[in-house]
Amino acid sequence: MDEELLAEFLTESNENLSAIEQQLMDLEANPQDEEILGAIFRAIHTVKGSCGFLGLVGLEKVAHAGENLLSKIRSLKFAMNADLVSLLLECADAITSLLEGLEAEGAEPDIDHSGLIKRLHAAERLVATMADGENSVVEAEQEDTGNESVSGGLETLQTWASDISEKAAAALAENGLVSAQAVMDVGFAKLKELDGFTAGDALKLLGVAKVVVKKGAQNAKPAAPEVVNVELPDDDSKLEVSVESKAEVVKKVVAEPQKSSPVPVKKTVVKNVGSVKPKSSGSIRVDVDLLDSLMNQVGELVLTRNRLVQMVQASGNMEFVRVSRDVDHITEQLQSKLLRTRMQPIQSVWNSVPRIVRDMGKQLEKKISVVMHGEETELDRTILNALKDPLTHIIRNSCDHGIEMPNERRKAGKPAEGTLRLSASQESGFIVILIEDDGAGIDAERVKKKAVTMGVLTEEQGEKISAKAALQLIFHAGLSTAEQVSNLSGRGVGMDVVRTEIEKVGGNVDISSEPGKGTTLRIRIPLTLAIISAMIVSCQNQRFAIPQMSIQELLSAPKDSQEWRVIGGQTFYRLRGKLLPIMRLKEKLQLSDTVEDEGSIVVIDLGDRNFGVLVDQICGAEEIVVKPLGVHFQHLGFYGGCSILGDGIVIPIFDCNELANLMQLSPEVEAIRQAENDDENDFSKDELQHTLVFSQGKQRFAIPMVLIERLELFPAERIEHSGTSEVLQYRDDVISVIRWGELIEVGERICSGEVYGLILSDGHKRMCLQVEQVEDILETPLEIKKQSENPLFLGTSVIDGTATEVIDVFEVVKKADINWFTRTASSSPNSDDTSLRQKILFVEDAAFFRNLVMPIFDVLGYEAWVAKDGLEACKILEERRPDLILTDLEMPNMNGYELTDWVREREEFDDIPIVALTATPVDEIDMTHRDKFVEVMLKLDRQSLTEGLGEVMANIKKKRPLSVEGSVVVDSSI
Amino acid sequence: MNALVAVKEHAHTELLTCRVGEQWIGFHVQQVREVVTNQERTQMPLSPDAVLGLINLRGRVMTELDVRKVVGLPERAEDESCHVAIIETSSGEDFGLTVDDVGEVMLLDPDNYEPTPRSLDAIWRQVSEGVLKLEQGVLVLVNVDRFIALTIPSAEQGAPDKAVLH
Repeated sequence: MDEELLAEFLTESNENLSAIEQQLMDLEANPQDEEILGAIFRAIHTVKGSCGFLGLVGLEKVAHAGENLLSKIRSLKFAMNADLVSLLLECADAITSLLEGLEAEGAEPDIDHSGLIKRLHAAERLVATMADGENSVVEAEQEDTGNESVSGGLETLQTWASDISEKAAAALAENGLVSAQAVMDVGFAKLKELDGFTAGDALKLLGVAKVVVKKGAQNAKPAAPEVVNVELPDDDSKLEVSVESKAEVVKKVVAEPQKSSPVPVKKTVVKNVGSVKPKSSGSIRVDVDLLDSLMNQVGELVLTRNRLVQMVQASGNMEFVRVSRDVDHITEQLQSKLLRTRMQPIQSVWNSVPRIVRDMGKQLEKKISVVMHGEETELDRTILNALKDPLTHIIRNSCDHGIEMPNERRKAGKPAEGTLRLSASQESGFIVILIEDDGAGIDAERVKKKAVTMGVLTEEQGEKISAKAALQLIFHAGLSTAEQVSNLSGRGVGMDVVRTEIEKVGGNVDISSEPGKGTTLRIRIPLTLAIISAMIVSCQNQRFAIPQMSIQELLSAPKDSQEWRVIGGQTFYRLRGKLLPIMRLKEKLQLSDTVEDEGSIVVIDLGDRNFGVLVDQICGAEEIVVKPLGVHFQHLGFYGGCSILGDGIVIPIFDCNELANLMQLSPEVEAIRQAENDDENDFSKDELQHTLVFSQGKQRFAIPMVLIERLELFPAERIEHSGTSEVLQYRDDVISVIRWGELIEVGERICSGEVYGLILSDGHKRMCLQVEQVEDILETPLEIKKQSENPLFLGTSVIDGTATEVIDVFEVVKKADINWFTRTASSSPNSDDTSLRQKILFVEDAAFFRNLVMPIFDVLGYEAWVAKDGLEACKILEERRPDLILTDLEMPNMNGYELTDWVREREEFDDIPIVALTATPVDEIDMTHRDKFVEVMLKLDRQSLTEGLGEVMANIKKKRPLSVEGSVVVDSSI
Repeated sequence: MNALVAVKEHAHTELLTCRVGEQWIGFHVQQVREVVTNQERTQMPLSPDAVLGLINLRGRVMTELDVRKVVGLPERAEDESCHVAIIETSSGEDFGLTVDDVGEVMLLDPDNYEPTPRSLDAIWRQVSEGVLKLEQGVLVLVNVDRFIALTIPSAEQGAPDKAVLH
């Protein structure tokens, strides 16, 4: 057999067949669509036609049977039904498996499809009988094969090859190829080069020509119709049923179980997955084993490179450094390119989903449609392969347990057809796959009950556990919520296997669900397994690697931090108001007998649970190559593998999922933690303020850090007298001192020992506020619960569970120097004439922050208009025109981004600069958004806010158009 | 298969002799990849007793096992020298076996060979394929697969406690 021919045939057929599955399902949805039917027919026909030429007898039989059925359906305009589609899908599967075998072994595999063929024939006859009594099978048969007979000696193209396209016919005529013999003579290679010819067409034509020539040689006898087996399965009695129940019969016949199931074909390493686009001339096939070993080599290279770079840096030789930098660069390129060779679009796994869903839907008598997004997202093929089964399982689960029966759905006010949504996207080095259904959702209470009945939870635990945590129990071995176990899914062995499989490839999965609305599974997996980015930490002089995948953030946790908590013997660290359980690595790994709560905390986020790992030191991030561990560590699941660092030392890598299991938080502790966390509202970062809390007497006061330049601890003697007031020499300056105790008339004047001074600064002016005891600096939402009548206070807020007075610093500053503002204001160039004062539209939803910033505008001599959100801002803008818009980003109704878009859409505001004011660190602001703003300022920093605003306003004054590119990001230091 | 027969069949078997404490042992030379001196190793917390740690042998990571610990001898002093025999096993995984001293490569003399005597220490009996009577004493022929198996914790004692609640 001509290898090139075969390869062409395979590529062509695979391409045709990959489409057929979808087309058949489309046809099921639109049974009258002749175009799709035609396309399917042509695809099968092409396969069949080519088979004759290549001598693939088995394949030809299957394809022919399928073709005949399709042809009958087409000619009789028979309405396609689900059973016929199932049968045809089976036929397509059979062809695919034959093609796979052919590709793998180079010869037709020995698979017996006679059962299928019989059923195809039976269906064909039934279709014929049902459509019209006149249209007998025999006639149709003759009509079908008549095309291939030779009429006399006069050969025209139409006589022997009727169903080629006009274009192809024209091309043939042009080249004088009208006889079958001529076509045979010119050969395949030439033929496929002709206009309008695909390789498949050429093959088909050659196949037909060959038959014709052969027949011609047999004295031009009328071609005997190809032997078509019209035998029925054993129970042909069904043919005799009355017309009324014919549809039923079709169903029965085609649903006949296959008596001789095909022998599974052994799959070889390179499998041409249906979806893979036809290979362009610029690609070659590479054995995956070779790629794998190449990958290993590159892994070694990366390690050696790490080592080289370290040595070179130690040597300090510039020449070496330059060379090693090149090596470094090239290695990186090599690594990333090689990684790409192993990537495959997730589509190759998802391709089978519509079919699975269709089959499931049919069996369960549910209506389900599939929507996919991000099919092109690429993943390492090892990971893809590993994902295949879990994904299938999840999808089956969603169809089976998630999506309800159509009548239930209608009752619930939902469309009868359920929707299964798959989406994949890349998220900073990881792939996130979402599988959502709009089904009944999971009742957390039922899961809890089940867990209690199964003994997974005690009753007490069941009561305490949160809904979200309860849902995650789905992944626990032995829990399946389906009331009725079906044969499709749900024997309770599923979801825990799904989880294990996903974790095996370094991923994690969690579930969320809203009863009545649906369920979402979220899978997060690394792009590749071979090389991972890891954080190297050390503990008791021993280093460990923690995959970045699982790391949320790093914290420094000094021993005297206020955030340590111990509940029920378990150590916690309070992070943004939430209790984070801490695993002391030293203790857990028995590295040391004495453990102190200090060092650094690596915050691990596994989706459904977080915890902190307390280590001595964070050494830094490194790309490492994962190597397997030997048999002695198989029982120590928390070691995910090992790697070799730049200095040649072996380092263990943690598997964070297993590490989490080591935590063994007792359910009681877990419940307390839950309760504590529930008490505290989940504040978004934007609402948190860095706040200094101090106490005077028994009272606590809070002062926003925005206004504090420094916190000083100095001997009380340094406070000197100057006239009636007190002063402090500070940085070559003499600044006035206000004693808070005297201002609020609490406590006594401290004249000895050390005192705390808060240095408040405003541009070049400073003052010192002496306070009794600084308690803490923390990030907290400064929510004013009760307004204060004393002008010194903004009001009362609850910080750390204690009522705390929030100080209005501007009032305090005024006490130090009544002229503080006026003098500054007079230095402002705009203050003389209010009509010339520059106008700022200030958009901010937090009343507290508005109060804080407004005085700054006064100081700078600007007129400020305040809006509480984007909508209000729009209203103001419709009436008045500011010189600058200063806007918060996170706001209700209309946020800063939306406002910016709104403004930018209007030409008249085109030249108004917009400055973003945010509490989110700059690097978290999306670059695309950042470009919209002239500047992005951080709420933490009063100094830069004043300066930045001054700068922007100065620019406006000079009437210099502000370039967007010139955006400045203000430093975030306090 | 009878160990005696096995040894007699391989009359030309070469052995690498090593010393552990006072005991001389022999490995089949074909199973010894190389002998290296004390390597920089990474200790693996919570690993089985016999495991000294992981070593990096030219980019290959392998588990280093201390023969002394396996046979219940006291730990080697910090400054005491040792050698690591890199051994192949039938599972395909290589191990570093730490011994006190390495002797020589010698031809197995079937005349000196005896099946494992009952008088041998229980621990040695478990890994012995037989003994050779030599001038310096009895040399135990070590079956490395059996030896390695001895160092792997059984499933019950080694299984990590699974957290009930995920």
